[in-house]
Amino acid sequence: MITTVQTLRFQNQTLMLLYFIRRLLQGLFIVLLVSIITFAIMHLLPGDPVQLLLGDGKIKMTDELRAAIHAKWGFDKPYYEQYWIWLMSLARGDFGESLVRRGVPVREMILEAAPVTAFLNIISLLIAIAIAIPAGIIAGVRRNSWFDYATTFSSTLGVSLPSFWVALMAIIVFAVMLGWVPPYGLKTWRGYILPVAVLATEQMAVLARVMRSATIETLTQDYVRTARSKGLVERLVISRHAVRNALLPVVTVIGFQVAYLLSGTIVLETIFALPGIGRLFIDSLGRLDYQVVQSLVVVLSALVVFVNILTDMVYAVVDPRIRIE
Amino acid sequence: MAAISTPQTHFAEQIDRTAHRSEWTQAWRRFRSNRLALFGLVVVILLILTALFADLIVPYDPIYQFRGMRGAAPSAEHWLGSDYNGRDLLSRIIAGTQIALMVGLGATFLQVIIGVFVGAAAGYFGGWTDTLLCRLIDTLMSMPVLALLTLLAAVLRDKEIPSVLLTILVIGFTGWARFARVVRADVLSLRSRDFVVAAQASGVRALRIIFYHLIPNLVGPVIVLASLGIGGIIILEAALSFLGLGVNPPTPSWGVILSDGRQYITNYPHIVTFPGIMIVITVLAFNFLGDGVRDALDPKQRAD
Repeated sequence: MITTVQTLRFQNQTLMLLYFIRRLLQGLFIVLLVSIITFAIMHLLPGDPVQLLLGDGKIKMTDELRAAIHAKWGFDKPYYEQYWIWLMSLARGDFGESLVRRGVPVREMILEAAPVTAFLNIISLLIAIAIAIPAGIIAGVRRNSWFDYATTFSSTLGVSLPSFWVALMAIIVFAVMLGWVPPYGLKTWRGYILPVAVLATEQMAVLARVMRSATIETLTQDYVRTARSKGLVERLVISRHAVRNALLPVVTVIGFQVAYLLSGTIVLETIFALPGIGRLFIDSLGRLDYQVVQSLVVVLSALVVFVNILTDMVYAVVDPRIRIE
Repeated sequence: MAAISTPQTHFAEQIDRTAHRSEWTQAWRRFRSNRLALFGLVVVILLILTALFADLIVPYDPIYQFRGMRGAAPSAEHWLGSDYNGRDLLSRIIAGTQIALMVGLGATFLQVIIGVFVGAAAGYFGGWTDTLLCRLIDTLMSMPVLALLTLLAAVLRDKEIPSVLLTILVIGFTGWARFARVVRADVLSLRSRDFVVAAQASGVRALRIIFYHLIPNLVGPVIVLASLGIGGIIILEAALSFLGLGVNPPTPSWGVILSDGRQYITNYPHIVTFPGIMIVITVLAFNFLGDGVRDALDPKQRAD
């Protein structure tokens, strides 16, 4: 008997490992596709970065010199070769040097900006989870109560509010009129308050919605009826049986949200003038800084893919039902 | 009512009444009983009328600059005041309705066309086609939307395409993955159904099966997904234009007005307030409508 259990457990672990490896390979393939798409798009860009670098023709130079600069950056090589070189250096973690801020490695620029964005996203996600999950559970359990209506109303409103407009309104009210926080910049830590609040509001709306409907869904399940009929206290029915199952879809949604979260930071960092990844991206796009833009797209997509794999793994560990597939 | 209505007769009446109704009539009845959805529908119709007749409704020319009206506050002549260049804000916002709806509906249409086609092909042909298309769908879904959009918009900017059309194309070509994913899953389950197998057995060509037998069965879920997506697309357009990568000024897109007003936010906060309220009303209306359509067409998947 014991051996059977052990064999089963072993098989299970092997399955998990295979599943993990398959997901990882798929993820790698996706990142590869992203890099190809990005590279293709970038090389359709209008304008020659070398031309732009030299003040759009204001600095006179001979054609030979121009050709030499092209050669230095590898612009004279055929596209597939440029791509291959780029891909190989990406694989080594070398993102090249910025074309505009001469000599500064792209990796350094990204590492400089990443903490701001990471802090912004993680804190707002945590705040959103801390508020939205309990709110969603209570709304789902006490359906049609005033609390449920208030939660549903606010989350519907929250989904329909463009975050960049909320940001502008927040600046008007809390920075300009009340003067509680700085309107933009990061001179003090209080510069984080508004962007974090706006980003968290957006996440909260989505999470509360999902949590509420997941709670309602699980409350109709047979195991909840069983738990109730065996005389379990309602509080325990909800905390032990309903909520734990209802959290599963929310985990997936949080994984999906990462891509949106990063999109949200692009606009918010621009509005609040925060020196993060989003602002670096928009600025580099404006300056035609090939290297930075293409590296950022690949890095961000890789991050999304990685988080999605991570959520799938969490899901597989927590919910044994989907492991076998 | 004096007549006795036993449960049986009541039931029989109900069955009698519902038997003749088509699926669509029933869906419309369910939709009609949803007050929020009806409200959304009314607002959407009003918005469409505003967009269609914008040229007649606007009190002033939306790009005419009134002298001495820089950032003027709302008044009897200019209900919502003026922007920093002295242009009538109400007229600009009304004209912006056109842009918002054109992009919202146009990009959705494009996403549906591409998504349905790719999804149907992946689901129907299976094998390598499926694997490849699925990876493409995954890839599009794991690129941060705004990064991809801004990148494409920046690349295609200086080409000879009007900026509104360009915005529609860019959003259309990047956002179809959601549709493809749903359509693929549905086609997979439809593929082994008798009517498809029968069609295959009688030698109907694959393209004909897809267009005449499969796609008509997907109309419901696609409409649901499309109507839920329009609001998000309107927000995306505003965000893109706000970043200077969508509709070009002086065309009065709501995002453009917001981006114009942002620079004078400390002195003239009214400029950024009104277009935002308009975006929220529009997006809310489309979301109510979308929720209503989902509940009406797919009663099993109701959120509550």
